[in-house]
Amino acid sequence: MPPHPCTAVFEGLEKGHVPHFLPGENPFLKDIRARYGVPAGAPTGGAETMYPEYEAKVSTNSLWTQGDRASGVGR
Amino acid sequence: MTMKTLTAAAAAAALLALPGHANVVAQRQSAPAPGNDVVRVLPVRGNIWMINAGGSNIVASIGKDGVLLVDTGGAAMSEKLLAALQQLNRAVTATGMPQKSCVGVVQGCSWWNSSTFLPATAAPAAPKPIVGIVNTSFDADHMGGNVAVSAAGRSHVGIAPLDAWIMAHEKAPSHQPKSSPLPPAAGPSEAYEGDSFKLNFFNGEGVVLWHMPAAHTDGDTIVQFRGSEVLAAGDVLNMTSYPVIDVEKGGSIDGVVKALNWILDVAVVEHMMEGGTLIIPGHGRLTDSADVAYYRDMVTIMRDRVRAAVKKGMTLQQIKAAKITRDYDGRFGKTSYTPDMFIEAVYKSCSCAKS
Repeated sequence: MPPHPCTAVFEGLEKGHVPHFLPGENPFLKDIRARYGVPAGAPTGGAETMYPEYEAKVSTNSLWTQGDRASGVGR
Repeated sequence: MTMKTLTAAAAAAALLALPGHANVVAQRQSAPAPGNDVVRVLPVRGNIWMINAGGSNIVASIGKDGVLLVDTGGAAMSEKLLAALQQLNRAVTATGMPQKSCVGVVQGCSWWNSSTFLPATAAPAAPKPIVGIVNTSFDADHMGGNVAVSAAGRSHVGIAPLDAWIMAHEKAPSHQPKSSPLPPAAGPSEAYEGDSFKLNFFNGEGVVLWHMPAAHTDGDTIVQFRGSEVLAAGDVLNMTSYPVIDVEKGGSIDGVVKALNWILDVAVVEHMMEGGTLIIPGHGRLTDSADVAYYRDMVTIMRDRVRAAVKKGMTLQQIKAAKITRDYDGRFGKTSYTPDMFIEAVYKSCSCAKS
């Protein structure tokens, strides 16, 4: 059996460090919103987003923040 | 009343006397959940067997030197555990060699088994008794069966035969509440101090005890079976819930993270597949390095979230209300050790700058 093909390298991180974003601090969650112009909650809204009623919910502004309106996200 | 029922009654009385959080934790652990009062046996590798008794995992090394147990489960399960052990001991002995592994790589036509590499582990013609018990901690669900199981075993220290010895780290029993002292026969007959202890060469392999300070409690031990490449992790690893941190017994979140990182340091992965070093948790299914890594990640992330919340000046109640464990609750938050209990233990024990 050959030696294990992977080699551990030093990545400049403290031993035992687990990379993660704290709640609310993940910048990548906004990527899909920005790319497709959908309001907050729509990309992560789950099964509910499959149904037409969800559009009404979005339009009633419950998920659409003032910041989104100002920046044009979701238009 | 037999010795076994006396033991169970004493343990129950002791649990009722425990205060506060310790009482909640201990009661959670003392008795098997309804419908879970069965004993399940799983061959792990070589001489090593995983026995689940009432939800608690017990590890048995069975071979020419006798039976070495890691933990004894809850007192209520002692009778069933002993019956299963007796049956297992006979079955292993009758085959003349350790059972085949249930996990790992298939090499050619047969499973790897320790008899290939460790011929000394071939079992004797007649079953040998339970020689010793190592306790990973002194929780009721891990040492509750000590009296009954030890009494059913035999060891020889000097000339006279004695009950099976019981070993633990010296700090393991030291946090026992004065209101509920251990029955003398349940406490360790041998205790080790320091970071580690080479127990012996038992059933053809080295067995080493490693102390994990201030983790689940301050007296946790991980048992390493060096020939079979198996670790018995005790309650620093729990596949059914968030790690139970008994702050009153000296446990801490930082100690749990450190212990999990230690396991990952010691364990060897099997490339591109399940297997490698097998780690037996205190509760739940058998694991390998990847499972421990996922668990370590979860515990570290939880610790970091609590740290960040404390840094923002949030109180314990506010942190609980923020539901910062929500994304893991579906996997680990379904037992009686609730996410709020875990968060409280993390908050109290983490190295966070609280105002």
